[in-house]
Amino acid sequence: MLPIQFRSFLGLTAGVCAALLCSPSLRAGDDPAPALIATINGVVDLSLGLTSSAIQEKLPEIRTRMDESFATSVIVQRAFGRNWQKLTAAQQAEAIDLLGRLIIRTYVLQLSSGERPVITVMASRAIGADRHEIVSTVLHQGETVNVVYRLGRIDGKWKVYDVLAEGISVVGNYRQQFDAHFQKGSVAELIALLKTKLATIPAGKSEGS
Amino acid sequence: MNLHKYRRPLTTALFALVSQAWFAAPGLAQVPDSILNEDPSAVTAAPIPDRIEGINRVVFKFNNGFYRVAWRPLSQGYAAVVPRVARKGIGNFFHNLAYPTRLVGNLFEGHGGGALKETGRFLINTTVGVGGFLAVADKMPSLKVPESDLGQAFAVWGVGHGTYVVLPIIGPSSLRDGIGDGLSGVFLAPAQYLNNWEYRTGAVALEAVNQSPDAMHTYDTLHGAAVDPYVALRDAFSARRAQQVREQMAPYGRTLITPRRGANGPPRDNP
Repeated sequence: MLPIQFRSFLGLTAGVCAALLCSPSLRAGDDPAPALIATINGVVDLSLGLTSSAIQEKLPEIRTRMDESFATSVIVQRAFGRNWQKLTAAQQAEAIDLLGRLIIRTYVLQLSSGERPVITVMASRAIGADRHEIVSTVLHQGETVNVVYRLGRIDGKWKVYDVLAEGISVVGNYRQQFDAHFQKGSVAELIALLKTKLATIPAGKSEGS
Repeated sequence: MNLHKYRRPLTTALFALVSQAWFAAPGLAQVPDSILNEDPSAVTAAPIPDRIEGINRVVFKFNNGFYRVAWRPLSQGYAAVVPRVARKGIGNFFHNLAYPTRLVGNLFEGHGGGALKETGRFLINTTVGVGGFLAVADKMPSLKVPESDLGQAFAVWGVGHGTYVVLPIIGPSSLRDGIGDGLSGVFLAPAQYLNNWEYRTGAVALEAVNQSPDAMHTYDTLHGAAVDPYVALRDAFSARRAQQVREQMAPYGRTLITPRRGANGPPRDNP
């Protein structure tokens, strides 16, 4: 018979091991940070140096790349928040498409000039059973920006459902806008506005700037 | 434009957009309720109360016109004449000159360590950095310190924003931060101590124009991405200022804001 202390030690060890194995952040190979950074770097590879006229050609490729780590529909749905139920199924699909394109266009234009951004992961930690947070810095155009990615277990994979840059949440920012819009405006007006936005592509950064 | 508080939040907001580029998704995914129900303001900050929204929107509209008609041509002309590297150096020079504001902000907050670091940064940038044109101290981790200003100091004292304010030409601010910036501009800006008013005006104008190309780019991108640019900017300003105050207080183990209570908790206060 094992001494009582040794049995306790074994029990404690087994408990710790079980906890480690069950912890989403500590399970071997389950840290979503490497996959996320690979996705972002892949998108940077596709985007860097693009002119405004070349953007459209690359969008499908970027979409495919981003879908590996970003939950588009969830981000859009969360951005709408309580207003999501005001949309019909067709309008929801259209909103996901339009808002997604609006954001990707902004993304590509932002990265179409300047040197390659340098992304560094500062921390990667579980914030619950089904959520994870990755804290990173982005060095771009001489400025360092703190970016936090919030990921969730979505369809069995870790995917980003919100991004906070210097404390500014993309989901939160759009939700504020949509809440303001729906105080007076309709779904149809919002979709028309999104289409108008997409129809007017802002000029990329000039060489001199 | 309020170049310190306007350009930075928008630039960083764009990185948020940059970080989530995607296109259309094939359909809605199976998502845990904890994610769908997570309130974004629980992990950022509640918006600053906008008690004079009607007036603010009028000023916002006026500013838009001013930026497009007057500021953009000026910005484009300046960018065409002055290369980016020179603009960076001039920006570093003016940032270094704003040392008194950061110093007083730290002292008002009781952050002696921050005041010492700011002083060290100023001395190194002014000497090794050739009058401040080179931000040498940025490469020294031991001198890294969150930037302070009088608005943040007021926040540490417990003073609330009061109301969100859009200032003519300058842009987004709050009652508290506007007063802080005004006091800084009158008493702590070295340019105000120049004898000749032409020099004073010239210094302020040069600093503003020097930052205008980046500010205009950010402005254009925001208007291209936002459904309601007024609300988008207000939210970005609110969140960014809250983050700055958090950063300012974090190294000293002090906080005035609601601690993070889990992602589905109540909205965090805006300090």
